[in-house]
Amino acid sequence: MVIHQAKTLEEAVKLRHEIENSAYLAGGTEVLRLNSSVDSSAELIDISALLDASISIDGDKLIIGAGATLQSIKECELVPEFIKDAAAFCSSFEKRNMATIGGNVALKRDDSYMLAALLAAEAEVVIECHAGEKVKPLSVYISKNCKGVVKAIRIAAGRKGWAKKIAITSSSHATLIAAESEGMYAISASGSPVAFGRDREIYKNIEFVSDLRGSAEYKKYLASVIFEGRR
Amino acid sequence: MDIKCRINGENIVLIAERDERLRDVLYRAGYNSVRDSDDREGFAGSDTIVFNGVLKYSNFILAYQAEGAEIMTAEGLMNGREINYVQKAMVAAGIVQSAYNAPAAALILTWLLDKKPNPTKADIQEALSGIFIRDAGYEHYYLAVKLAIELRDEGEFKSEIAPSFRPSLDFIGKPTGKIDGAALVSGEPVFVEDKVPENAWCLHVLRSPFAHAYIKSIDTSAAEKLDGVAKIVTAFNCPDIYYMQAGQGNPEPSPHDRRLFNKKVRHVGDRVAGIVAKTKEIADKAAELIKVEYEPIAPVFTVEEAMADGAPVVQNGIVEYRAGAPADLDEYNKSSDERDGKIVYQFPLHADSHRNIAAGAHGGIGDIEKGFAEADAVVDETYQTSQIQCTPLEPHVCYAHIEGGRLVMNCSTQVPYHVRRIVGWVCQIPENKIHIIKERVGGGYGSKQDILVEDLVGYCTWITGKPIYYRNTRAEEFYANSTRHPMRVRVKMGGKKDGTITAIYMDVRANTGPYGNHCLTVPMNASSKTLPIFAVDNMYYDLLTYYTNIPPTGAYQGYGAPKGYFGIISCMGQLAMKLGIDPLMMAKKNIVHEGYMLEILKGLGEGREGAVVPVGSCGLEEALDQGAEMINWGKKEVSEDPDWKIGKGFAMIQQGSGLPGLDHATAQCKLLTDGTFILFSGGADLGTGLDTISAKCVSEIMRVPLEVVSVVSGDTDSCPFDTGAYASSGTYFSGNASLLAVKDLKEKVLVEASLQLGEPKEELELVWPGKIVSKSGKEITYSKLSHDALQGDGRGQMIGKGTFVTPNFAVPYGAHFAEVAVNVRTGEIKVNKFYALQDAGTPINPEIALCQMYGAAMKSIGHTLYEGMILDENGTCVNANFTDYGTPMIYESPEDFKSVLIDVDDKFGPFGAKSISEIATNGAAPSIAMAIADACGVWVRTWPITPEKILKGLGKF
Repeated sequence: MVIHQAKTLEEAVKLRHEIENSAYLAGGTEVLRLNSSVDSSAELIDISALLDASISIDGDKLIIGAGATLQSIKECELVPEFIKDAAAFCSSFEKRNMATIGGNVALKRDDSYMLAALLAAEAEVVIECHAGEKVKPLSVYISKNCKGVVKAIRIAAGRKGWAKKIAITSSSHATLIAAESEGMYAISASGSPVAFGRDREIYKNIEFVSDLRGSAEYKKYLASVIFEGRR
Repeated sequence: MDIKCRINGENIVLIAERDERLRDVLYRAGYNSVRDSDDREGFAGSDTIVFNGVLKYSNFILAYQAEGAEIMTAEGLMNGREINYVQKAMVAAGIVQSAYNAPAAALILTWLLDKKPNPTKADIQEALSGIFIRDAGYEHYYLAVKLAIELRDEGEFKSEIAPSFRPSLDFIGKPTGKIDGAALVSGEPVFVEDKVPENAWCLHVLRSPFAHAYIKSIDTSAAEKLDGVAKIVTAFNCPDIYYMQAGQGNPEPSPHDRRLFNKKVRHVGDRVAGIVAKTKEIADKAAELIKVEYEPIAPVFTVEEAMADGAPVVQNGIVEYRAGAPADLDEYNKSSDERDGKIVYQFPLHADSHRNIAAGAHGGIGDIEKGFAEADAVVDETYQTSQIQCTPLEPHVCYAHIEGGRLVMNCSTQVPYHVRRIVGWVCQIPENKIHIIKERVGGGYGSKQDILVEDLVGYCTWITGKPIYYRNTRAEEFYANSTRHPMRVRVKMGGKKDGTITAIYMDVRANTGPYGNHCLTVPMNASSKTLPIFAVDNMYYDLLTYYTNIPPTGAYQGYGAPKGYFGIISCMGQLAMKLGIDPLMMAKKNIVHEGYMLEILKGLGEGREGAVVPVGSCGLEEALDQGAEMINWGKKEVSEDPDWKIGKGFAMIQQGSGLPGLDHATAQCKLLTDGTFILFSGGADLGTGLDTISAKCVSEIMRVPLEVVSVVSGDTDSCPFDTGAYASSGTYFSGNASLLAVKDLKEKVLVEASLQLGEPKEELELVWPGKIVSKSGKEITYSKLSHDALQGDGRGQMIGKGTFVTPNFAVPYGAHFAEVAVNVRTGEIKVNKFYALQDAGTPINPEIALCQMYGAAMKSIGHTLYEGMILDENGTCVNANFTDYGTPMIYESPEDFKSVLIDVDDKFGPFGAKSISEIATNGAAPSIAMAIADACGVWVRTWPITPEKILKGLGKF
């Protein structure tokens, strides 16, 4: 395993661009995991010591440093409840103590703990790129193949919402995660790209697939009723 | 590189490769408590440490990241050799069982209590959310925290740990904690992996990518040329010895249908070559260089496929019989294929390998058709169970070396003497050349009843002379191990409006996979452990087991009974509903009671005619009554949320206590020169507390504290023979052998004391703590008695011997009740309440018994709702890891979970004890299925009962 310890985020981004098969190493819960979605032969660029892990309010924005762990998000009083709930979708305490929100967002997994809730919250992503720092809507970030480092997530402070995970067990990868926040809906169903929008029937845009976590018909049905089920 | 850090308060320099996982480095540095159960999956939590004040998985930390870190492992909990207050509480609560994760759990709970001195249930759940406990469930973890707080704040345990039984006895029936609890919870090097020297060689198994194929050729020449490769074993150079891997009594009711390597592979993951190499890297390289030419054959995966006309034949070898060969055997063998090898039956199993039938049986009582004709209603349904993995935290593992010209094997096994026999067969060496040392077993659950790795490790060590260490990967545990036989159980049941069951018919079709391990006996259990609970005049069963190309099956806690109970109780529940009567009333009207003659047993022997015996001690009705009261049976619960529907269900259950007429246990108890004791038991303690039972026998009979008793068990050199720990035999057989050995020793002690004191033996009694007193007032301590007996003119060491065999059954009974909530919009299922009530006779270790009930019930809840191996169209298991497999964790535990011991004294068990653990896997599936049907009207008849199946049943899509 080849590991690069970047001294700055700029250096990390440079390495990431220079090394074709490379990946950032933050909390390590995905990159170092058995059956990781990250290529096991990828060279790792360790940014764990470079990430801001703080959670703060700046004006009307809640700023969550990319290095903030899912557990610190779950425990932080500044964080909206539904975002905390999403962090808790990672059911393992030890894993939550290690997994970072930056890593979870950057991986863009279809069963990501956080993506649906953050999309519903209309989050923005602060990224360190070649050209310096950029801020993009999360909805845009996930559609691009960005090699930059996620530095922070920003959402409107006090945002209200709701998030729900359906999975075989608490520790299983999600079959479906749904979230709604102030009229914005998001659904991530395993095997399909995350869908979001202001139409409650966004599920109609999803091409559901059958996999270990359930049939396409089951997921489609769940997606069609999940927002009705909110109480 | 050197890594400077602080570990457990000491400045330490770790030596590591930069990219090594911290877990591996810590373990190598001697921190044995930091284990790995999941191959870095980040699931099981065996690798948990406190890293800079935070609980983390050390597998996800690279070694260099520990530079300057403050680390704590479970070793840091100790004060010298004394375990801390949390560890003491864990031992007292009974949760330290197979204990592979116990040190990590102790570390987690100590961390929690440091942060939150009085944690809530939610706090405890959160802290334990990343650690997998399979053996004891999670319920007594809450008790352990409570006890720890009491010990911390008040200096002693205040709460009741478990109920006590038999007031006249001091140790039996009392929660004393396990005698090996401190060693296990502290992380002492007690497992096989801890005994492996640095110079051990590696064994790597090259496995088949095909589910069914002939091996046309294997070219190992390039691999053999590699430096550091000692030997490569294949089907073309292995011994031509046929055996089976099932650890059963000899002659076994399983066919000998395999060699170490076969010219035909029969499942994805089947053995193709065994590579003995100096390092794993060399072995991996060698595996890449081996060229194998396969001739694929169409596979069969299901019973239906296997029984179809013209189906590919999985075992088409030449059939031989050791006894009972049919007259037309030569004719039968004409269509066999030499490349398939042989199938050797020890006695007829009613097999027909040409039709993929591995075993068959049938039998019954009464007139089944007459019974159905008399019924007011009949239900005829088919139930399908899935392939379930035992998931012991410690995978199958073995270390072997040669010492003094003998093969010495450190094993994690339930059956050390069967291991010795089968390794002897494979190596073609006598048993005196083999020494099996059963180490502590980090979870067995039946899968370590089978000799799945020891055969190959033993052979490779014997022929190479190399010390060899082998450990299954977690994935291999799924596809190259043993699992629950999937079964299709058809149950037809007829009943009258008054609740009388008039007839029961069971048609069991089991899937044994590629080999015939337990192919008769596991499926037999689906009937033999279910039908005898019914006092019904007309009962009949048919059984056929089929070979297929799924991953191997074998023993799993509960054996065939959980599958049988799923079918038979579900059918009874449906029949009661059809008749418009209460299922509980129907159950109570048709259950057996003490003294009822079990005619049905005649046709339910394991490959022989069974003995008809009366029902012995039986707490079944009391369990049903008490459980019904606890769960408010008959009261319909209604949720405030209209989406959630609530229902209740139950199952009455039984199992056995070993195999009367087949099992055999022996023990010896020695009085040492200072008046202390060592008991040598052939029994294999799997973390179940069997050694503690043996020790309690000594303490109770000889009137001495547990501290002066040591137990050595499962070591084939020093301990006498025992068939092993399976079929719930431990307490009944091995425990009875220990008791008999101690009673024999007592007699010898009294005889010697009589001589030394000059008093009649009849006037002597043993008096606490460890002396003999005569009616006339003379007394002598065990120490002096033993010392003087071992002088130059003494009469020798006092050694008691006990052998236990019996025709008598000690059957445990019980009832499990479930209350579930089903969301009719999403299909989600919550087990709100689960009550396990069991008659274990006298529970010798009541706190451990309760935890085994919790653990077994949790396993069964897992099988019912979440778990199941999934194969793709090629037969590859696609969820061969904990996460995708659906392993239940603490959040899957029922919100209200209770285990209750029904107090019944048994005539034959040691101090009235019966078995406890296996039976507890039988109730969840039927009780939950019934509760779901009660909640939403949907009967799901296949495992796992998923939200998707419920929604389909509700017609939602």
